[in-house]
Amino acid sequence: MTSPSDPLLRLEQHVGRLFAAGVAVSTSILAVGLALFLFAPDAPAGSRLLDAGLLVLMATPMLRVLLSVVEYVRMGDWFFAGTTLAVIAELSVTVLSALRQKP
Amino acid sequence: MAAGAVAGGLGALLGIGGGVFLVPFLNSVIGLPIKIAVATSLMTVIATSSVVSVSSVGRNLINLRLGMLLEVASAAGGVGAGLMFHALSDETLFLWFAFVTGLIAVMMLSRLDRRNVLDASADPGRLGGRYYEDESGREVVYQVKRLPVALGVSALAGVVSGSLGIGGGILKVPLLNAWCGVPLRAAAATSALMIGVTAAASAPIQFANHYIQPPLAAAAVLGVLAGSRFGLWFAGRAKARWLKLLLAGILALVSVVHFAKVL
Repeated sequence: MTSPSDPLLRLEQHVGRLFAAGVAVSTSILAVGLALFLFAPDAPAGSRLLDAGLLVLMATPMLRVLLSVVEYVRMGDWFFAGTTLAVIAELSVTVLSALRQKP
Repeated sequence: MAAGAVAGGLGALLGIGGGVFLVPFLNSVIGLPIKIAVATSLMTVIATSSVVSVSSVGRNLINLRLGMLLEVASAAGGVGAGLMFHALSDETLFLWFAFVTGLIAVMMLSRLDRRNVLDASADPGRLGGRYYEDESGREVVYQVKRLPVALGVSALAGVVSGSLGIGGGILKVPLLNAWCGVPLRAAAATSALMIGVTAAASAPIQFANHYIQPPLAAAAVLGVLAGSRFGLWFAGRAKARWLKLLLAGILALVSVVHFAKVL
């Protein structure tokens, strides 16, 4: 694929590749985990894989936001870099409060 | 998995995520507690968002700037709903679900024939966009109007996403289309991108609170992804008016069923 001159289009292509990879990784892990769980419900490997697959799934859109802030800074588009940072701040509130609840 | 597939197919049609169909199915048909149904659905919303976004890349349908700006509001709503979710009662969730689906059905029916397309030579401005539409075979240009309205609706969509597991695109898409001048397909693609981050703003909290049952969530995610492939294929061929009618009809039914549950 050629690198497009329009930086927004380049960001869109990076985002597309990230999503494709995130979906491929998380669904593969979930499929294997689900199969393990169905055949051996008591084995810890299955539920560990299921947890991992769901975490990758949740992390994918978060990584997209991180990727966007890098691209907007590279473009020198400070308004949208700031906007993206605000979203990152909101996501960290969620992640921190989830980590605090986890026993 | 079959439920996930059907919900995914319908959801992908308008970039709304399959949750509006999956939540009532898991709750009413399978008999899962409403909060488990909501949290499970939220995981499928994230998956749908990622997959639909991959398919939209390169067609200029996703408005990355508008999406990122609105995500500030929708993620805030998602975080708020995620933090409150544990404290909400089931009855509150049923009423809220019935209200939201009924509202959207009415709204869609009242704006069936509106289009928001400018002349191809028009300037889309900083937040607007342009893309090539297969259906009409011409370039579509649009400007974004009433940004504060879009931000408010996105915040509400974030709350709806985190509390009802229905993506929230179902609110944003018709409103971005009807009030903010964004054509249906661009609104759907931009919303599909946004619902992933919006759902991810509350999903980790629900995961930590054990509302997400991993095997169930995995089956639903895999089912929705299979279904959304069909939905995307179909959406590329169907008329926008027909899509709106179909969706409004299903929503009205879902709303009536949920009001009936509480009353």
